[in-house]
Amino acid sequence: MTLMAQDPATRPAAGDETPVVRITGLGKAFRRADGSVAKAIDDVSLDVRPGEFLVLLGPSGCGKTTLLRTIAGLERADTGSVALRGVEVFSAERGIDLPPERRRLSMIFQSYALWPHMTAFDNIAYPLRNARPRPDRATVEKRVQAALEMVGTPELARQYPNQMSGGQQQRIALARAIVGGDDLVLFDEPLSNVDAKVREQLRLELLALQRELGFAAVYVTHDQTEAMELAHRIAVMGDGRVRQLADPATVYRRPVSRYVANFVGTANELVGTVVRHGEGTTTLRTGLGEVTGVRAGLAVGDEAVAVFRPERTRLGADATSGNGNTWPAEVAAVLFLGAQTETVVKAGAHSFRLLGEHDVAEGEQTTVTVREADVLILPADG
Amino acid sequence: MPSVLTDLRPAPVRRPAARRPRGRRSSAFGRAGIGIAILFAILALYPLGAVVHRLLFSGGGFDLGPVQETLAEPGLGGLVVNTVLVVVASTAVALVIGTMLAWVNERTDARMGVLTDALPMVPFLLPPVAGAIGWVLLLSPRAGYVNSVLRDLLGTVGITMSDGPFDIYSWYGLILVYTIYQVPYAFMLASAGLRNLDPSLEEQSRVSGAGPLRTLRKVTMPGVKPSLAGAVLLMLWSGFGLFSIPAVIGTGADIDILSVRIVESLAEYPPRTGVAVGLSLIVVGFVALAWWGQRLVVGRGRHATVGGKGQRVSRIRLGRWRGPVRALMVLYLLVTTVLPLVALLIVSLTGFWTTKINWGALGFDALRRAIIQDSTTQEALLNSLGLGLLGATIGIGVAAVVALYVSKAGRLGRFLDGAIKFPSTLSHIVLAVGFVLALAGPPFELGGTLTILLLAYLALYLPQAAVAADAAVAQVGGELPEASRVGGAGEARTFRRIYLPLMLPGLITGWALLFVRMIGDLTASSILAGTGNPVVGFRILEIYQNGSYATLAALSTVLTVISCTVVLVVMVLSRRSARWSAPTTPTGAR
Repeated sequence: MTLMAQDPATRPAAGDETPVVRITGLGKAFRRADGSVAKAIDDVSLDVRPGEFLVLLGPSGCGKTTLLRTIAGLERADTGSVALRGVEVFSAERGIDLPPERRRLSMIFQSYALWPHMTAFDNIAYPLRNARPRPDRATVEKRVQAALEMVGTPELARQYPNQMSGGQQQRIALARAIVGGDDLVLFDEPLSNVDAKVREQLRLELLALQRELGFAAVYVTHDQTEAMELAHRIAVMGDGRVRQLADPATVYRRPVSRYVANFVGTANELVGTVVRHGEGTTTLRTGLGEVTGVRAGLAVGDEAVAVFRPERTRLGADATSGNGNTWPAEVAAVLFLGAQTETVVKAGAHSFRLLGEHDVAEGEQTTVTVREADVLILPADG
Repeated sequence: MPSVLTDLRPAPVRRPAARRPRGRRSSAFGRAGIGIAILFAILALYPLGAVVHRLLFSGGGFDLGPVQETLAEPGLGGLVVNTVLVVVASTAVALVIGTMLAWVNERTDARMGVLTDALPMVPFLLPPVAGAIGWVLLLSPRAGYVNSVLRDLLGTVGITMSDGPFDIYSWYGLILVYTIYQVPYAFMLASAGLRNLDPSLEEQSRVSGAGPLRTLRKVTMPGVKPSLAGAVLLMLWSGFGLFSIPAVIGTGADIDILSVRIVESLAEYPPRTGVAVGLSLIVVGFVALAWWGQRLVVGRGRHATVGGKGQRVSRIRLGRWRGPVRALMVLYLLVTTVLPLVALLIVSLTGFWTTKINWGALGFDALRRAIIQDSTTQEALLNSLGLGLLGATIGIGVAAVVALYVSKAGRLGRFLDGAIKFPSTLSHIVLAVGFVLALAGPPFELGGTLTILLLAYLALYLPQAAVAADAAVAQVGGELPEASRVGGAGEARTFRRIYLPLMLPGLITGWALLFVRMIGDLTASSILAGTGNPVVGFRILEIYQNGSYATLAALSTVLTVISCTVVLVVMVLSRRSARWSAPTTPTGAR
């Protein structure tokens, strides 16, 4: 806690709803080599609240990194505005574009971006030494040491980056980001370059650090597990737009579109046409007959898709009768994953994935059931 | 491993700068950079414009006189055929030797550290004129040291000869020396290509059942084809522009070469500028042809240019061949670099050139007579050193600014970057002729001044500085300066604390390269220098025409010693300024 500015005035009081970041109508287009225009960011608006951990999740090329860099001031948008702590730092309309050094935020880059000609100590001290007024030597020393201890690598102070392992470099980059006590830290896929074990470890440490220091974080990743674990809220991005912005559970259980359902977690799908609405339900006609799920705002005759999760899909014996969609199926593969077993079954031309302990063998004839409450009916496009 | 010689290689293929900020408000740095770049683009383009203008509009209006004059030049056909023959033959031989050296060095266990990494590049550091004279001293039919030693050896088996067996003044002599000066280009680019080629491509080939030679032929060679095409282009370009070698050897062998004829027609009185321009454009034509050919090879785009980042290459074990291969490499390096140097040294320390080496007569008297007591030579030397210091410093500074702030700044920036690098596609001779036409006469009246030499050197060697600076900037990468900006440092501070220290080793190396090139320049100096503004290159030609080999050797030796000293000092400096890049004790797994 020694690192955060302790002055209560600089930290938002409880109930203060001035967002740390407010993005309004942001857009940015790139011209491709062939002359066509690609929208990297397409009319994005979102807020990041004080102390919130917001994850921008999406496949590569969805604009999430561009969005992050626009917040940092490393890239300039074409339209819209960015306000930090209630003050506009970018506005296409009003011609405002504050350079990165005046936005009072920290960022962790994918490559860590540690300066190879500086020791860990000098790397971490850099933001402090850029502050005006410049803190005295003793203060710099104390804060750098505190930051190093915070990330658990006090022994690295005199080392150069190329004498460190990837995980150690990552920690130094983290220390550099928190040393200034900024209330906003941006992360650009920081864990994509370390191996799985270290990644898991660093993720937990990062989470603890963020909750303890209370800075707001905007975190870019394409890894949905990472997003689920870290985020207060996830912004699922696709084609430069925010497709859904909600807490992890909602994004997973109630995806608003087929795109989100498929990107976050695994989804079983059945494409069909809406034939009728019932008591809180909607029924589709699909290749496997009628499928009923949670009522959706679609009209009869619309193209739609029924989506359900592997862990909500059941097999033969444990299928509860009635109030469900049941199809005969054949077990195509049983995949032992350690903690869980994944079963792949074929029903007609469709194949579904199931999670959970099922006592079946490959080639066995069985039935697949999914409860109506576990089936989401989503528009077929997007 | 930053060493001067290995850093002379071009920048690795840069990944598309998709994440670079575009259209950022122009900063003071950017604006100043654009201004400087415009000045230097003019410096490169204006003289070329003058060449074309002189060719087509000599008498006030459109006039093809110079073209007809050129076509009527006696022996034009032979001139062109000779030149093409020498350049193409030496390029082909150099490509084979350079690629073989590069492959052995990069892919087999015959590599011998810095020795084989750096020595093939040494000819780059020896002024070609010094090399040419060294080879004359070695292989001149009667008095050449090598010939003399060989005759003695043959004498012991009963064969007596009065001269020979070798003759430097011949086709093979000329091609030999050309080749030695072309090999570094092939070695440099082939090495870079091999290092950037993803080793797993080759490993995949081995795993798929192909032997080392088949892998070399089917995977490695096609993979480095763009690099080799680049090497061929560079060699053709430098070959057509080489002046000192044909001036020294070709003249003695009665082989007319274009570059020599161009300089001669300018040196006559009255100067035949029209013919010089016409012949220059023939050179441009050949270089353009080579460039087009290179585009054909590279443009098909089926070459995976994978940014191999220090991946470990599994070197081929040569087994019992390792010794002989190493011996061959060392022999090549000895013959091409050490031998001519020794010859130069002996002659300059003896004071005269005789077949029998009188070891007792070696001393510094002759050297002192040739350099210190000759006021013109001394003046030339001082002028060259001054121009070298000034030119290299300005050149590398401008190149750094252009690489950092201009080449990425939109369409104008790319145009300026291209314009500054444009002279690299032309022969130096052409540009020097352009400087005579553009700046020597009214309104600038710079003929016979040191200023015109400085400007010409800058225009000529800026492309090389740009290569060094681009490589230095590429090493810094995009995220390091960005992290500095996010860390609260402004543009000036980011430049001072991040860019400068990180680029310094590369820039120092580039500086040394420029310095060595400028003090050893003969091409521009032969055309632009005179008795009023003598430089080393000019003085060397003057002495050569008077035929004093001892003085020539003395001056060449001094030039070489200065070049090598500067490069050595710079190597040490650049290592020291990049101490952080050498990991000492890696902690933890990487």
